[in-house]
Amino acid sequence: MRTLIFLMLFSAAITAEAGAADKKKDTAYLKAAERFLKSDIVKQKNCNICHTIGKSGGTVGPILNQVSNRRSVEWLRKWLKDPNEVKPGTKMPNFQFSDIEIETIVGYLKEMKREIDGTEILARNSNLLEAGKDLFQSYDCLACHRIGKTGRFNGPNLTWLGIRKTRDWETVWLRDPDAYKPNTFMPNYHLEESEIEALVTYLESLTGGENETSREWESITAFFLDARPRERGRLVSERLACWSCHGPNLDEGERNPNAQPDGFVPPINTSYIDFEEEDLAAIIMQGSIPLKIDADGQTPPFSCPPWNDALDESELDDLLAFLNSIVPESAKWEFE
Amino acid sequence: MQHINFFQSRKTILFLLVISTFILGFSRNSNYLPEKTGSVSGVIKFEESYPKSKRIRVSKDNEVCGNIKKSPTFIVNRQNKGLKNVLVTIEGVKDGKVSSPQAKITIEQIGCEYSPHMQVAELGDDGISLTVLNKDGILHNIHSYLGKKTLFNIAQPKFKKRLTKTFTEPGVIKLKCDVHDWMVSYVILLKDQPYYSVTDEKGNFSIDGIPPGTYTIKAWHEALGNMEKQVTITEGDDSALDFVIKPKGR
Repeated sequence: MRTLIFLMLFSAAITAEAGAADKKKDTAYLKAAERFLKSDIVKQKNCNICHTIGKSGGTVGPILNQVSNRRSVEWLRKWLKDPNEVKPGTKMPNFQFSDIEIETIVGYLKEMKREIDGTEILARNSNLLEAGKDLFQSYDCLACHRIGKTGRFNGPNLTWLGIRKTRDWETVWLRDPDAYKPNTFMPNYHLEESEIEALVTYLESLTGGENETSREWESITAFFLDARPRERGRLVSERLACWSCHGPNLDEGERNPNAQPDGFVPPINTSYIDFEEEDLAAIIMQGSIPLKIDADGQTPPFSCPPWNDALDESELDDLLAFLNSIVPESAKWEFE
Repeated sequence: MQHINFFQSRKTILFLLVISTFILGFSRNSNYLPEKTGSVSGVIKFEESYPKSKRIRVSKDNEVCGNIKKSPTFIVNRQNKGLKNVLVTIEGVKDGKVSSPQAKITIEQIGCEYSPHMQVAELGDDGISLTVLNKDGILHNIHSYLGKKTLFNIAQPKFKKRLTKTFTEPGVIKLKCDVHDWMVSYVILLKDQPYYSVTDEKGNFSIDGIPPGTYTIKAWHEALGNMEKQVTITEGDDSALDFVIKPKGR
């Protein structure tokens, strides 16, 4: 009997120890991030003004905590040497780092890698949707992407991904982003097929549910604010996440190699004066399909989807009133 | 002996070089007679109503940047509704003044603003160097665009007080700070174009030394874009010409 109790305690201790070790492993990347944040190089160069490192920092660039889950040491070196060479037009400036500085930074960054056991994650969740969400969080997709009010603006916004893209598209994309869109900034995570299946299930779920909630929230807010059309329209535009492609202030678009005429999704803050109201309404309801420069090229990664299923007539009117209200002063004047 | 000394003298050679440059320089425009030219002047102003300066709420580095910034896009004089910072050029002047390129220009970052907000310079064959001063002691970055194309994007960390970059292409160069996204400045580089003027606080411009003839006069503003008109210059006269700005679609 005593032996049995002893054995039980012993095994419990071992399990506890193993659990603690797991936890330690799981937070090692965060500790590495904290060390980086306190390093002299960050103090000198202020990386944290734009990047979140550990728990705090700016929101201009991606969150760096798990940067080595997505970037190789070689990639980081190249990036630090000249970011514009890797991603033309990026907001990340060239710091003109010395080779020693680059090695110092890379030394910190390569420790910022989370141990992720996809098999274990799939096993610990009861269904694919939960597993997909778990994987999505584990791989820190919100370091660059955004869902609703959380995440960053460095990758496309995923709030409405489920209606913008298909399962097949997402599967092909996640398998090898660069094969689909050469020189994309999206890294290859070398995911297992089972992980992709779970992630795609989660991504496809990014549609109705959350939007219905925000729609209720919209009407409640509108009721209490006694909202004017343009205020109601603002809430509608937030629900539709117009900023997912047109930029956080709707005044800058994302690059799209197939977008005419210059490879950029247009800003929409001037749309109300750029188009006749009728035409603008038609684009919103029926969607826009940008012309392709290369007729045989890939399907444009961004085109404004038709919103007719998501909007009724009065919401469309509110949205138009909102678009009218955000036309910047600078676009309202012209030479006679 | 004396003869050799004359040509060996460095100063003399330098003198000869300067003289020949002058002769060559003017020989290109031997038809240009400063006394037989005219000028054009006018005001660029809003017709009736005019925009109020947009206020921008500052969300970071408040100790240095302050809490509110005024947008420098439209600087309008209250009395005459004249607009500052409009570039006016006379296009296609033949046998006119010779461009006198500048070697360097300077811009300051102070209180999280660029100073000046807009500047125009004449570009020579050797390019022009831009010195960027950081008086703020915080991290700025200088992201320069020609159209939508990034020319360079360099960081200026707090301890780096000055940095220099060279431009070789003419055009409208936009400088932007991605850390403080309200910070925008325009540097306009003109090639072989001595006929320009930038409107002052009252929206006034004036360009002189133009040989008589009919020319295209062009106004450019960062938010309004381009506007062209025709102007006829007569010898010894100042032609008056205004540009009027009105609300779009009216």
